[in-house]
Amino acid sequence: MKENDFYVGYLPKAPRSMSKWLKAVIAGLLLLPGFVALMVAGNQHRFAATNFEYGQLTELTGVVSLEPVPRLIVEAGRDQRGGVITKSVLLVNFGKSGVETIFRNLEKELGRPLTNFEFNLRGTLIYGEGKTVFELTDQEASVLGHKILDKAYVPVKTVALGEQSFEGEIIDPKCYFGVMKPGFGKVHRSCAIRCIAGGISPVMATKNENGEKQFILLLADKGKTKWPLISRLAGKPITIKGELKQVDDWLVLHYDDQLLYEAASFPIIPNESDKLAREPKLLAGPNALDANIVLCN
Amino acid sequence: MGHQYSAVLWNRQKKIYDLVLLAGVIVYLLVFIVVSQFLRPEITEETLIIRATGSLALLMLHIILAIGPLSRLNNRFLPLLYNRRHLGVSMFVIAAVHGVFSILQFHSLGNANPLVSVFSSNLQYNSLQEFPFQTLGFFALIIFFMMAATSHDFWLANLGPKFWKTMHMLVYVAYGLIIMHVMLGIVQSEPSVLLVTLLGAGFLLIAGLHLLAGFRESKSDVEKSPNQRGYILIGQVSEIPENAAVTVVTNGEKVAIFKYDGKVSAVSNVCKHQNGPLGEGKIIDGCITCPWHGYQYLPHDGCSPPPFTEKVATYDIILEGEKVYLNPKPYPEGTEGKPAIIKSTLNQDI
Ligand code: HEM
Ligand code: FES
Repeated sequence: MKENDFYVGYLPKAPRSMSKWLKAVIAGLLLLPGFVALMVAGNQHRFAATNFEYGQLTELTGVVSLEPVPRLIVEAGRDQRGGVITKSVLLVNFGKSGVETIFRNLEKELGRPLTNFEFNLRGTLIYGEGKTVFELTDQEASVLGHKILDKAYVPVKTVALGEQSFEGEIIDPKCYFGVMKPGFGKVHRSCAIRCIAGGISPVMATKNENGEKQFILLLADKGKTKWPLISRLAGKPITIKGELKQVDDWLVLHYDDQLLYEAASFPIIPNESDKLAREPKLLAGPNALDANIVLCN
Repeated sequence: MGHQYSAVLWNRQKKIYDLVLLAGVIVYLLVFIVVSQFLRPEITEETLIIRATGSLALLMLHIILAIGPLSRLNNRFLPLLYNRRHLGVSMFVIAAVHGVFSILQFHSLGNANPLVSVFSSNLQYNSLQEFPFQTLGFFALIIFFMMAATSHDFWLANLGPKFWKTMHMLVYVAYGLIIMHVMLGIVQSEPSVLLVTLLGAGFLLIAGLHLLAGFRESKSDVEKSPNQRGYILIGQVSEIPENAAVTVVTNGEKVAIFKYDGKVSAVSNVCKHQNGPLGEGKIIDGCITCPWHGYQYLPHDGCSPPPFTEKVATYDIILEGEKVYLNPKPYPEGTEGKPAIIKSTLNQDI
């Protein structure tokens, strides 16, 4: 170091002999971030081409069914013979929670099973990969109105497909089909756990024999809670076995949750936050029970 | 030095430093946003913010950690050290944006307290592959918060330099936590040779620089033992650069021996501010000036000029002809010692 090379920060100027060097250092300190940002940003995996129409409210009309999971059945078109083609739009609440309580309460208020009504709902559309999810952004206030139907709705199609086993990942459909990117995998895992524990129906994302993406609603058969500890298994590769059914346009897998937890590689024990998860309450009153029986066939 | 103190608070160099810092941050965020929007147009704003700020904070952490050994290896990096505190606080702020957005995105509006959820959602603490990586970032953020909150000299004075320094050593713990946060998080999710290479290169750079600086120091820090009279031979007067110092280690203490104004004086090498190496400083306006942030001490008594009150230990110097000897027994801090007068210079002066 030359005599006058000594840098004293509080002096107004750095020594002259250093200014060239300092300029080079400054240039380096501006190039380095640019370079690293380019590498890291460019290295991100592709995101799904799904959508969340955040801030944009849409009105949908259809029948609400809580079986197998809360969904709005809307008319998606007509087939060649003029028959109605329906689409099940999964219903989710604002935030990381489900809508079951909203509709159970509404059903109590109306005094008849929900499937006797057509509802007008306002919320935010989430869609991608051929599936649609509807967020009741204003929660209870998202139910704008209802109209009584001549005939209660019954699933168009309920086909038993036998015992089957699937390999894939348990996802929460709200995030996966558009709200978050990525809405699956390890970085998203804790969020999927929160969403499912909060009452959003778990879905298995898997592939069929042709390697095409396939989504299956998961339903615990033996558990006391409907969205129980399966949330803990979200966001990681897993194999799950159960009775497969087709209900309208969704596949549903009824799995034995006791077996599933016993087979897990780590103890699945309920904790405080699981206790908070909403437990489905069976409806009081004969009408309601009838409806449950009919729809669960 | 009175007016200089206020100048230390905010002056031209510091402004330049902060401007470069701000420009660097803007360049990073801009490039990240533009590249993401262009190559990955489906990205959500939340993911963009979380990823841009997380990765920027980590880059800044690397720079922060590299500056120390770099400036020990080469004085020319000292300007980077001078205002490293602003770099550190900015890094904390950016990391906090990342942490807060992550907690909002992944844990809020659920059935559990978001902060509890960070720890209780994924409970696979027993698995490396499934480990709840967010908790690691959380603890690192707490460390950065403590460092940022106590970065002001007020805390340095109140907590004492030892405690302060020890606490700031936690930055290495935080660095380790963040590496694992990234390895067990995004790298698990989106395995990537590039990310692992960048992280590995960063780690090797930081570890290498620290080892190199430590090695250099340990070579120059060989303990010298006293002769029969109890003195340590430092060398020839001519070997000490004018208005600068040579250093020697004795009894585990490093001593800086300065030559100035035809005199030779010795003081403890350790600056009272943040343990900066006084021996790498210079005599400016008659004062030993610390290379790190410019604290000053008078060479003959180790006292900062009024109104400052910092004091370092002083030592006796004995000159025998051209030979410089140090008495390794320190005087209490701020004690006036007798500087050795260099005769030949005196003769020249007369
Ligand atoms: C409360 C504290 C924190 C939480 C909850 C948190 C959470 C997360 C999450 C969820 C991700 C994955 C995001 C994604 O890729 O989509 C992530 C990535 C990352 N975090 Fe953190 N983090 C925290 C603190 C920190 C801190 C203090 C730093 C660093 C200085 C940091 C650096 C990073 C980096 C470099 C990544 C990878 C960037 C990327 O995904 O491209 N994090 N963090
Ligand atoms: S360490 Fe800061 S001035 Fe010496």
